[in-house]
Amino acid sequence: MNIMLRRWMVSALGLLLFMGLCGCLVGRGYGGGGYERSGHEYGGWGSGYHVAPARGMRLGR
Amino acid sequence: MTICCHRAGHLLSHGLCAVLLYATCVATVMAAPFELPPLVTPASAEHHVGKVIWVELVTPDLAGAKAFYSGLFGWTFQGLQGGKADFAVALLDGRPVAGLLQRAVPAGEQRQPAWRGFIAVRDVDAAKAIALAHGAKVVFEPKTYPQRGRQAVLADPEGAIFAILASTSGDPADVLAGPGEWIWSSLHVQNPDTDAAFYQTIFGYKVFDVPSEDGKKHVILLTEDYARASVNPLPGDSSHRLPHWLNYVRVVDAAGAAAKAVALGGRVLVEPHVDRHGGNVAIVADPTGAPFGLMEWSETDTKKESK
Repeated sequence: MNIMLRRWMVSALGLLLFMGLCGCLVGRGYGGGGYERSGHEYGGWGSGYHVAPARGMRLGR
Repeated sequence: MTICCHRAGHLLSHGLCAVLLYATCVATVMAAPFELPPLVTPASAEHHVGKVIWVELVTPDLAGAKAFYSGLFGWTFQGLQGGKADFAVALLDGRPVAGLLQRAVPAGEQRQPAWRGFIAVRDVDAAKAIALAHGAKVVFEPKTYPQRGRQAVLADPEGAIFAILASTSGDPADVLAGPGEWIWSSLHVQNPDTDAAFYQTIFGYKVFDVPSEDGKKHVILLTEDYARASVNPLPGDSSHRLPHWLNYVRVVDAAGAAAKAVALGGRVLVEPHVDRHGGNVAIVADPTGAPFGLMEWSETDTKKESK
């Protein structure tokens, strides 16, 4: 392997390492998504269990 | 022999160039920030602290979720710029109504796919600091997405997860949601009084007691004279149930929508029943188990409630 080729390979490896590090530092993950713990259960919502706004309240969504 | 070696070296260097070019492209894509669209287009100067201004689903099956919600509400979907395959924006009549994010469930773990509400704040870091001082925990640290704004995900003192967002493009106007849009949110916790006080500290809510037939404390949170959410005690034997937020889509016919959800592969968690406002409410889950509510709101109320 000649010296030029070896230099190429070292440079390429260095660049790849640098890009990988940049990728890690910048971070591409979405800081908003993630699961919740299991255990949401809905039994026991009897007829008197109300969640809606009261009649006459203003809603804005 | 020398010529042969020289040619081989030449070929190798060309190959390396190609690999480098490819790696650069891949690394650029990998390092690119998550480009979320603005909440309001064109941007507005409106801000409504305490209002749930955005809702996002975390699901292990984005394609399945698209089919389900498209069939149920007529939503269409748009991928993100840059071709990210794991996030889609749901649209209704061309307007963004929700985000859908695909995440793999960690191997060997049981996790709950869920719709997450984003509550408006003016300063995410200040809101986070207040929340932490009052017993909250950080789920995702604050992060800025240039077009959307700065956001963070927190768990309240009882463990219910919610997100806060300071939108770059302003907050959506206070108009009544139409059918197929998010209309309401409810929080289910062990102790509504204490938890409502926690949210009041962060968002400045007025807390309004509402009469209930189960003899327990139920409250409504308001800002700017608009009802934003209810806080309810976990029903039944709540020691086995986790505190959580639920979000509701306005429908014309809750029973019909619940039946449609089942036909599309979902299931009914709470049968349609008449709620406090006089309309029907049902709780359903999509095919991966993400729960959400279906809420009727009459046209009479629409006229009365519109600003």
